[in-house]
Amino acid sequence: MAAHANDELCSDAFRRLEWERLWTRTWLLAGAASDLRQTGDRFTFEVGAESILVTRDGDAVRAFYNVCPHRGRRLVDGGCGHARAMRCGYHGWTFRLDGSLAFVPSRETFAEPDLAERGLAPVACEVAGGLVWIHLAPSPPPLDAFLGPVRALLERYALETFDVREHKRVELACNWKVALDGANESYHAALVHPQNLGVLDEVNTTVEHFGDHAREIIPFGVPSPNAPDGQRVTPELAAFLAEAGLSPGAFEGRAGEARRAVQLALRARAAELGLTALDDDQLTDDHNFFLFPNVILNVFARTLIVVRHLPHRTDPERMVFDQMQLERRRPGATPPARPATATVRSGTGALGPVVEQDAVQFARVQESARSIAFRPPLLGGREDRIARMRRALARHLAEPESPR
Amino acid sequence: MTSISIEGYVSLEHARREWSAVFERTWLLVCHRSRLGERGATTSDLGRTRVLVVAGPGGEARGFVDACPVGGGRLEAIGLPRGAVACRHGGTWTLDGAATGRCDAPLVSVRVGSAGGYLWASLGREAPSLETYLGTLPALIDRLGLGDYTLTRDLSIEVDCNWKVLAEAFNEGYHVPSTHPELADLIDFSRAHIAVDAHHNQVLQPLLGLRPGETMGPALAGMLAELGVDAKATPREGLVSAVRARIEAMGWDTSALDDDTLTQNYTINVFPNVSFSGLLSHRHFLSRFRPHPVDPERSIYDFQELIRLPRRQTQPAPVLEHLRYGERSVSTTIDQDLANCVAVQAGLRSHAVRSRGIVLGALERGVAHLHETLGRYLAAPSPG
Repeated sequence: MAAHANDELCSDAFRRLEWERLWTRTWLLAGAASDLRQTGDRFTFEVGAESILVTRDGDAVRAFYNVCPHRGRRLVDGGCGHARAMRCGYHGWTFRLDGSLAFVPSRETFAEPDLAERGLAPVACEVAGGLVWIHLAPSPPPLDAFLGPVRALLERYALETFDVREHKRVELACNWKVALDGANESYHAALVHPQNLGVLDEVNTTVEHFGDHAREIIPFGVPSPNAPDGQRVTPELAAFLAEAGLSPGAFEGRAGEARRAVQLALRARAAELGLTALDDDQLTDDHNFFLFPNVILNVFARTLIVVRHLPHRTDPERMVFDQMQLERRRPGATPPARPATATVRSGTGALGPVVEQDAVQFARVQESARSIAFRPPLLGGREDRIARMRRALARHLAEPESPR
Repeated sequence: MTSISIEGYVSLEHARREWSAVFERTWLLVCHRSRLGERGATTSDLGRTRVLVVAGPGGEARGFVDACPVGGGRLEAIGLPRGAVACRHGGTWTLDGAATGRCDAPLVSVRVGSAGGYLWASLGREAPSLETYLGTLPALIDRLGLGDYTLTRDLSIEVDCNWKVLAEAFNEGYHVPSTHPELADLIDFSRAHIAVDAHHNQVLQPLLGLRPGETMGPALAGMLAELGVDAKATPREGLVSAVRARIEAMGWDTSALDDDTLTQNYTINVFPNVSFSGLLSHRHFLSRFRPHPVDPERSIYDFQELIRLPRRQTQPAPVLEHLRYGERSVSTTIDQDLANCVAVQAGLRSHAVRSRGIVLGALERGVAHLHETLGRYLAAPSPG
């Protein structure tokens, strides 16, 4: 594997190896199924140098390389959109939703008797658990085998009824694995995110591994053992209570009772809110999934936060941090308008306090990774997910080359 | 499928070979002759090399690599017209390039020539004479009267694409109806006369609205108004002579200007990286596509606007601007072209394009021609 401890975070050769043997050989989370409700709805998913266009065409969800097969222009702009046909802005070549060529201006000026093979280049695409998945290999293994038991766990939440309410992308000054490592352990939370210690218990969690994937259940509405005053109602806990319709003042001095109270309050309104399929712990807790290689899903009863850790196109020391926040739609409610995907800058506060706090740590780790003094990290028991992720990555990188 | 290597748009190694095999073996456009101006000296960045051009005692242009041959660093022309060249280390040279001061080595000279109102430079020794290299283009450029035009705007824009992506956009009109719908009623892009020679190519397309029975759009009407021709009051069959009369009234000789030239949008692509275009013998544009010195995925797009002004009028100084693409709008048409170019470069990085290549139609003959010529230079020890 890496010749030097820092190669996997700093070396361009390692970045290329990851591209050839990881990113193009694994299922990747491309987006939310709720962004493709109607025929013609589409979104793009950017990974490395590739932009993948995902569209709904009747019952089918299809993915294509987002390039015009005529001269190679990016076919559609990034983000979400809607159109019954896709027209290239350069020369006007137009494609149907199934990727076939619908119109070529001045068709007679092309010598090729048949331009049919100049349709959009397809990419393998599946929908599962309310999420859209793509695979860049020509004949990928089944998505079911990849997801394993995770699929059924996600399906209980009916994530297809969750709407994207915010979508932000930001470039961070670190390798994608540095940020992912941060998401794969909660050991740092007591020091880096002290504001959250009143609302969640990052110590008494339950981790379960499903192949290369994992789920960690983090209890919410209960103070952390690391909280300086465990019975105080912090602003974060107050917000958590208020979201469930409870009065925060009533819990002053007995904050430890908040979790159960929220569960009971939501259980009473379960039908109205669409929560009947969920257990009590699912009504409060963060079911935090790591989906190999790069996805973190914070699944709550009514909220889903999707984080994708994506490699930079050329620079191993930069990454794209892509975060979507979704909210469960009440049964019978009209879907809200989809907000535009925003590219923001870190350090501006645009990412919210937790990610901004993390980004500072990530950049410091990347800086020291360049040092000749850098050694492989020493991982404690609560950081085991990091070690497992690295083993899965090493297994991918060791697989022999197969032509794409 | 046209065999164009996608690697050529992204590889630094390829960009370096291109510089030595193409850019150092051809004639490159330096600047509008007026830039030599009153100071008698100008510098121009050609890509990986900067040149200093000075006017010799007889007014003839002389060129040097803009670097002190001993210690590096830029040169400066001093005390022109009878002056000298100096560097920061106290080195001085005569206008023949002979050392007279502390830096004891001659300047690296560059062949410089003048044609079509522009100065051109050849960095290597292999290129034929400028006259041979440009062939009939100077005569064509002279017929268009480009030497009579005044440079009004001189822009340099750094763009995130390989220089060839820019050059391709200017080597075909196939994209115009789709990319520039506002030009649809100005130029008939469904018809084109395309002529290619060993290096260069020329595209002629009829203007719309000058002939009886054709509808005139607001763009052409506006340009005619700028020339002082009232399109509404002038009968269709008299428009061309009215334009000619206005140019003559400005004091210019139009005897070399045929009616065909007057009624067409012309584009002249000079290999490897210059495109002249214009219309009505009134407005004229020059585009140059400079490779970035170190990044194959960036280039500098130079855009110049020229206009024919009354002959005795004092020439205004051109507006000079340097910017990065996206900083602000430049013009509707250029914004549209550059947006395409950046999107093409992004698409060329895709596996889908690298594995399937691109396809060119007959209206994109100029693009294929550009790559054929590049290929000849890259393959041959001396393409001639």
